[in-house]
Amino acid sequence: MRYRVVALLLTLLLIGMSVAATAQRRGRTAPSPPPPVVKQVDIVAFKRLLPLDSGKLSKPLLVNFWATWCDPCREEFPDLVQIDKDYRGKGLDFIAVSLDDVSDAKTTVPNFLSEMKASMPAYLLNVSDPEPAILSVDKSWSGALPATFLYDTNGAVVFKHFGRVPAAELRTAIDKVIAGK
Amino acid sequence: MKKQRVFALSLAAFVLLAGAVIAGNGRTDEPALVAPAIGTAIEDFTLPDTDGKNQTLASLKGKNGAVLIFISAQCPVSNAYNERMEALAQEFGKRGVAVIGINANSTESAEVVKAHAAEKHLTFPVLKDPGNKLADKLGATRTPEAYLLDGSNKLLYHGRIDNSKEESGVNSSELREAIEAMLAGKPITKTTAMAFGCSIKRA
Repeated sequence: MRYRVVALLLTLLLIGMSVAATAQRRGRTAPSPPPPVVKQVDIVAFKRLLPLDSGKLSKPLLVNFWATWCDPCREEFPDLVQIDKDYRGKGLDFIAVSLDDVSDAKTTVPNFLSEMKASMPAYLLNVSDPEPAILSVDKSWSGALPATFLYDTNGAVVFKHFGRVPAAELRTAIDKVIAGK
Repeated sequence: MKKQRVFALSLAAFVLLAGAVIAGNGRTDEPALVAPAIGTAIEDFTLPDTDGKNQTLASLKGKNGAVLIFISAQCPVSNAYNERMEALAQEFGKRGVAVIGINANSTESAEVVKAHAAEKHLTFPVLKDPGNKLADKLGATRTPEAYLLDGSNKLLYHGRIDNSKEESGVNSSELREAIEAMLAGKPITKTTAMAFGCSIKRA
């Protein structure tokens, strides 16, 4: 009886090891998507990303300002990735602008985006003085992160939120702006 | 039986609705907040320190004024400024301008704030702002965010400490310049300045 139990346990152990090894092999051979490229922008290029002067856009634009050091930014990111997936085909452009340190542009930032399976265009603001960038976006924004802005095709802000964005409210605003209401 | 069911359903609907209303109102991280204009006199306030003992602005400020800095124990931007804030406290404390830290994050308890101050060797007082009442009054939204008050509590400068989270990248120190100008009796050239920071986690 005791031998039978030992044999059974050994069999189970072997099966477990085999399953784990197969899973590991699969993990190794699975094609991994290319790491996201985080484009560094100076203040001039930054302003071109947003409908600040030119006004008109071909599609409504969602902009999220974030950083890997910001807890609520990381917490809201899965919602934003899902929103990007759900609305990109419906005519929404979405960009994520990181305010991380420049030294993180090729490491921490793309690693996080990769982990989130994020595929929206990603930028990192590379400036010595952040104030002109903050002031150019919105007069009511103090620079607190995260911050989310939704622009209609006329370049007007139709939704903005400072702090962790409530996904349902953002979706409602996107539905409205896409419908042209 | 039917009546009971209707009552139960009504009660459930009420609870659900009330929950939604409370949750909706509880979302206070959107700061529809405006900082007082430069030149406004800030009223004296009373807040508990990290031992729970009430402190007033009047009792903590220096003879020439005070710098209120909203800080956080967890925010990496605020933490990047610990040494710089302590240096300001040491230097300007001797010249009659007291640095007072304010922690308005509902996510950071007095115990956490006290332990953080000890660990980071912050010798200036740090007050808790329960319910972020002072943060609301001053329109504070991020950490770190500084307010310079003169000896009569008049707001002279509001905003960042300097331009760079990384000390090596600092090339403009607006807060320091504002304090120096105040002490020299000169006009402050830049009275507000912005920087990125962590949102204050409001109650």
